Amino acid sequence: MGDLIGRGVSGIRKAAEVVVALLFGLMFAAFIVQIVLRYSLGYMPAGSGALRETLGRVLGWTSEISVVAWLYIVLVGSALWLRENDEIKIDLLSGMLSRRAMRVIAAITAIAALTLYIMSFPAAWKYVTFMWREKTDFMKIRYDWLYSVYLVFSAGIIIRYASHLWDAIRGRDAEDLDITKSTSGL
Amino acid sequence: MSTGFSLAIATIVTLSILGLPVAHAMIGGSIFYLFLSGKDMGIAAEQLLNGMMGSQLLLAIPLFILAAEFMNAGPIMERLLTFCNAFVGRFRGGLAQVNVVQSIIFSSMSGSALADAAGSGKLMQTMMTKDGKYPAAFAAALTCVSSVIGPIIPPSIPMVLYALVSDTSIGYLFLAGVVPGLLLGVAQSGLIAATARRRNFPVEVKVPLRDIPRITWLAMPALMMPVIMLYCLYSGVTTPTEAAAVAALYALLVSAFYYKSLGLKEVYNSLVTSARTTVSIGLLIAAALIFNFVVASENIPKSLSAFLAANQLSPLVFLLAVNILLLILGCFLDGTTIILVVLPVLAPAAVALGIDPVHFGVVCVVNIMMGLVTPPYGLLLFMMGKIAEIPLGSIVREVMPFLYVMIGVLVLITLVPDTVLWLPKLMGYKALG
Repeated sequence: MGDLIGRGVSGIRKAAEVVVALLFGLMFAAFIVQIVLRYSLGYMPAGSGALRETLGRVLGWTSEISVVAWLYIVLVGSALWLRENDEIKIDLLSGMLSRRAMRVIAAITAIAALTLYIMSFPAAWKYVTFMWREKTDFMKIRYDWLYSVYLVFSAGIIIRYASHLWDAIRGRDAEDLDITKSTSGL
Repeated sequence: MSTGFSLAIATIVTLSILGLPVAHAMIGGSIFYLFLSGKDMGIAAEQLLNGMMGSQLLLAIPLFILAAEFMNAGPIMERLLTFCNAFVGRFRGGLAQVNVVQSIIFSSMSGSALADAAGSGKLMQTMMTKDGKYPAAFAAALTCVSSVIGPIIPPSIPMVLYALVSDTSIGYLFLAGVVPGLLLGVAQSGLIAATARRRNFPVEVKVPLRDIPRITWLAMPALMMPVIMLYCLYSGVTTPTEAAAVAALYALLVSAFYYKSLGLKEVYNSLVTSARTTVSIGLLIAAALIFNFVVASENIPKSLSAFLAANQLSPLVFLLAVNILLLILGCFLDGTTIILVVLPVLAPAAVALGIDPVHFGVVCVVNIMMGLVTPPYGLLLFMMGKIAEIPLGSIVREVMPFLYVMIGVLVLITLVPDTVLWLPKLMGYKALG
């Protein structure tokens, strides 16, 4: 059973990686198209009304695609792809405390994160579903669908910390931290 | 400041120190604040989603990351090093000078220090330590400090972040980074020159003059990059975000078709690597969007400004105090975190005291980027320690003299605002005060 869950989780991670990478490529491509279009609109002779309008609409699409891709890259990526140790952390304690103490701390932070994310989940749900009446300007995507990614994000984080809590209770150590991965690297 | 706010801050600080990722600590703390102050907790989702969707400027960050990734995939760096060596290798400590000059050129194509160190680190380390030319620790330390120039000379990811939280023009911020970045380069280069004889640093074999055109030609694609970048940014042809996309496209085309070092597989890998960095920075930005709503609804910047005004703090004392605070924070906190969490509070106060926001931003970014090489948590130190396989302590010892001259530059740009503002003013910026 545990093995099955483990395989399921790594399958989801792998799939999320592909999705995020493709979204990244899409965002990049949308930008290139956007620049080319803006250039060509600038040089287009007057009187090409219909074509101009179509290109203008495509231009709107590209900018919408790129921001939506950015939002999804960040939220899907952090909920389903990255491990906790890939995220930006302050690493002050891990070298100083015993493994047992670290497990206790892992349990405390997991409980705190769980409480806060679970507590706000209904309100987030309400906000997202409330957005059903609005649509994006160009691609006319309903905002409740678009924003449902926040719920996926919240749920992903809740599941992650539930599993961290479970690990801590069962006495399994957290992975060692690699500082070159847990900072933003600017 | 309400009790709710104090408790939220305490939560964020405690959870971060206990090892929860900073972004989740910030989101959690902000949710806690909303709960305590009786506000709708859905505001967290609203701020995050609308904020992320609302700013095209932010997209410059992933695109600059991607551009650097494409560039590092090809032999661009190697050609660039050969080019630099042809010119400055002939001096005592020549290869060390190459390291600095390369960083200055590379920094006008990339917006991050890590990208620079990742690109040149291994190569430079091997070149500098071959036949025992330079001590390994010195070579590693030099790569660390020279990489700091990367995010100061435009383009610069930290400056994009600062523009976001302070509502300052990114174009002028970028311009304002040029002189301080060059000053850092000159300071480092000066220190190398000053110690080269005493430490008996070697001179490289002179490259004959007739070879220089060929070497320049080979490095041309790399050397064109800053030109294209600057043209895009300052001719008004593209927005800064679009300039980032152009940079990435150019790097992709050069690496794929000119150097033939990028196939589909490598492109995919570059996307994955860039996405990884993007997600971790992006989540912190997302968290900061929620947190900044909290800070704004508590009127923190206003109360801080009022407090400073009531105590008749001079702008200079404020700037020095901020510098000291940031240097200390930089030893322990990640740069992105400081920019997104601390600067939104400080920037309005600085403006209220009559400090120009562009000057303030550049001073802060230069300061915060030094945190990348200050022990105990300097990211670049760890990275070079890993690449060079030497203990951190030995790198830190070699970094220290460089750190002192860099702090000298920091003091200079703090005290003389025109070192920062001269170039933006030349291009039409109306500075405050």
